[in-house]
Amino acid sequence: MTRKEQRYISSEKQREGFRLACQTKIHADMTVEVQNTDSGGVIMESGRSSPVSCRPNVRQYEVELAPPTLEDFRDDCQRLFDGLRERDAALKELEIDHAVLKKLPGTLRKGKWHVSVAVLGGKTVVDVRAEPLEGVYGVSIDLGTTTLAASLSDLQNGRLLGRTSRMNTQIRYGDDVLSRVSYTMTQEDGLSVLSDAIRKDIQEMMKELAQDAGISLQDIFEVVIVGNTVMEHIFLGLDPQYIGKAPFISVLRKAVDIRADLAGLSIAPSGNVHFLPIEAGFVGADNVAVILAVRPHVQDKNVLVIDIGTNGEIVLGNRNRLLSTSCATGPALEGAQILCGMRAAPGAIEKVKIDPATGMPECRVIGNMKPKGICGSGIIDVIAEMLRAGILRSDGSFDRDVGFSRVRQVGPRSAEYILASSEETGGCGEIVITQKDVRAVQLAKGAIYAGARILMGKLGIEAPERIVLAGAFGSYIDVRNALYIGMFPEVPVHAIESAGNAAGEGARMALLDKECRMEAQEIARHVEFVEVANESSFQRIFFDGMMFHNGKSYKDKRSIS
Amino acid sequence: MSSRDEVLAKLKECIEELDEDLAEEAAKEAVDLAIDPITAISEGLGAGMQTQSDLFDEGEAFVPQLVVAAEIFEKAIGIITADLSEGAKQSSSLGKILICTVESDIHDIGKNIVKTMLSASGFEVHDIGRDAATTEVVAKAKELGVDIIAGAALMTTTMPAQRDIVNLLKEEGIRDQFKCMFGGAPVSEEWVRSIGADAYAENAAEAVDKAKELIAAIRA
Repeated sequence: MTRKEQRYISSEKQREGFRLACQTKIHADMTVEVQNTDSGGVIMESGRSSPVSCRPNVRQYEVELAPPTLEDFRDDCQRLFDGLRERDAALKELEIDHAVLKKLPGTLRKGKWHVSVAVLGGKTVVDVRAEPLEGVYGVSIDLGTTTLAASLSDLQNGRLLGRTSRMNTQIRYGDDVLSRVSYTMTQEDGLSVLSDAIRKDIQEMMKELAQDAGISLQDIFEVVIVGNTVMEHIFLGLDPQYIGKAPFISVLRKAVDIRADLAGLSIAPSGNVHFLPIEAGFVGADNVAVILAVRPHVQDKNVLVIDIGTNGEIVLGNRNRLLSTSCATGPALEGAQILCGMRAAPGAIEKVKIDPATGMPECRVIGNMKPKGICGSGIIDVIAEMLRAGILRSDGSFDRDVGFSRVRQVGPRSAEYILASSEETGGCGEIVITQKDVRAVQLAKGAIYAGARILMGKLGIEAPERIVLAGAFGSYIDVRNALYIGMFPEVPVHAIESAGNAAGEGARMALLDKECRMEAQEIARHVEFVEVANESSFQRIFFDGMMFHNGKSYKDKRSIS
Repeated sequence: MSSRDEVLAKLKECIEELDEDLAEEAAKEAVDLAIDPITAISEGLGAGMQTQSDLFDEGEAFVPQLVVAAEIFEKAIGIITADLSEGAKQSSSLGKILICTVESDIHDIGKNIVKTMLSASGFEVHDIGRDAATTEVVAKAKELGVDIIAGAALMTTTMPAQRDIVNLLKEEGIRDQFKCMFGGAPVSEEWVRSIGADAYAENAAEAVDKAKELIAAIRA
């Protein structure tokens, strides 16, 4: 056992044979036993189901053609186009995909001149089949840095046929977008490794969706993908390195349409993969999708939309003007970088109350079992409750003299809070909230607060009229507690609502309704991106945002603001 | 009029208590009493910064407090050294350091803290700001004749700019004239060693220790 390991593993755990995997050299085949395996997490799949119009980009037609004769010697392609126009006069400028053209003569004759045709964008024939098409389906995908979510829809009636989600396999190459970018810069073939990983994830999700719905992958004609700028670049095999450093330039911003086989997805080979446009810098198509779903751009009231993920995105404004920015919230709010943090899986403490008289905690645990760690919503709760109980001061430091048995002194000046004792976890060690954990939350909430405040300043408003929280995190947190710790600008509690997985919802809207894609282009053009870290007031506002202004035992220090 | 010891105590206290008005008052008194700037730093302002740095290490103080302390320090030092000639400033220093946030990186909160801690410990620090082009870093280092080049990278994507600095020095055949010291959130000891730099510092306090070691090695 190395000295590093001895520092991080308690003597009790050392006796039980615990080692740090990152410090262990492997010389031969070995068995790794992992304690506390997570059994399925809670990942938000659904969004708020807003009514979506069904005006799909892909339509199917059954056409009956007159067989050719010596008198009617139109070529196969012309004959097909004429037949299609008879069915739908709107199909004026038709063309045909080369791969379809190659199989056209055989298919027409095999179907005895009665064929099913799929037409993309009212223009391109992307499939011709001798047997009737069983349906025309589409998949919408939210390509997150950490989580991937996909849903399958019937493009003829807009019906939702299934949803699925999984962790992004790229996590093994880095937790955040920057480390992924850096992987593509430093590793030979790094870009194709990451690109292949994401393609494989998406293919597997589509396969699973198709199987569960009992449909064929060949009948999926369109995929709409939204993701942050880096994820989109990596999927498309575009070099993301210049997004990763100042002045943060992407290869392109506009919407992309690419043939499925070129995109490396196995669906209908001439099917279409569509990416919504990018706003600017890190604020990508996923944020356009969020706006599409939450719709601040058509409202009179000023709405603040906060999408909290590994990277946070903030939008503020109304029909007149919309501003956006991104902020590095870090993974603290998702339970990472917190000593006892974990994903929102069984065993995670998700709600916390602290008795202000005794400092004793009361925890609710996912799966009603002994706690193993704490997830994002629990972290917000515990910070708010520690402030209310006077355990934390407004500057985030522990008050060592609070006199609660659960507050344990560490070193000459610091302390930590015992959220669950060894007994309460069933002998799995204590769950503690350390000073470092509090600091990580302060940095994250300071970044969100600063982003929102700077946009408010640019727009010249004192407070937004509504706050909409997008993303899984927003659905599970206690809004009162989030307000109490100063995560957002102050508004009445009832002015805050949660929109669920708005990015996924926006992607589905764009899949089902091609008008929404036009609207997305307008949004991307219209939104003004603000690089908040470049604002001269950033540091002051960021620091101000790190403080807990509602904490009651405010120590008499110079006000940072 | 305060005595010399009272002024030094005030200089320390203004940093510890984050009292900007007191800092201004004490700095002016130090000038009036003609207190040697080195003493003003080592027994006054610098001692106050050391307290803040210790509080930070122990978790009681956080980044904003350290930054405010640094700002007050810079303000006071500006008053104390306002009338000093460049030569006098240099002769009093432990060594000369060029500091920056590396090319394509715009994060400078941490770099500013390190800069102040180095000044507070008696180094002469030249800050060329953020997103400092590699060529500019090397050109300035030559022009100023610094002992140490210190560069911060706050994104994994900008860490390679630290390697670029070392490589450019090698290319110009002047690698042995400068010590290179790097840091920043994603930076590690391993990285700094792998690019052939001289020292890694995890935080501002360590940056001071490492800078002292590097200077000792140069003077040895």
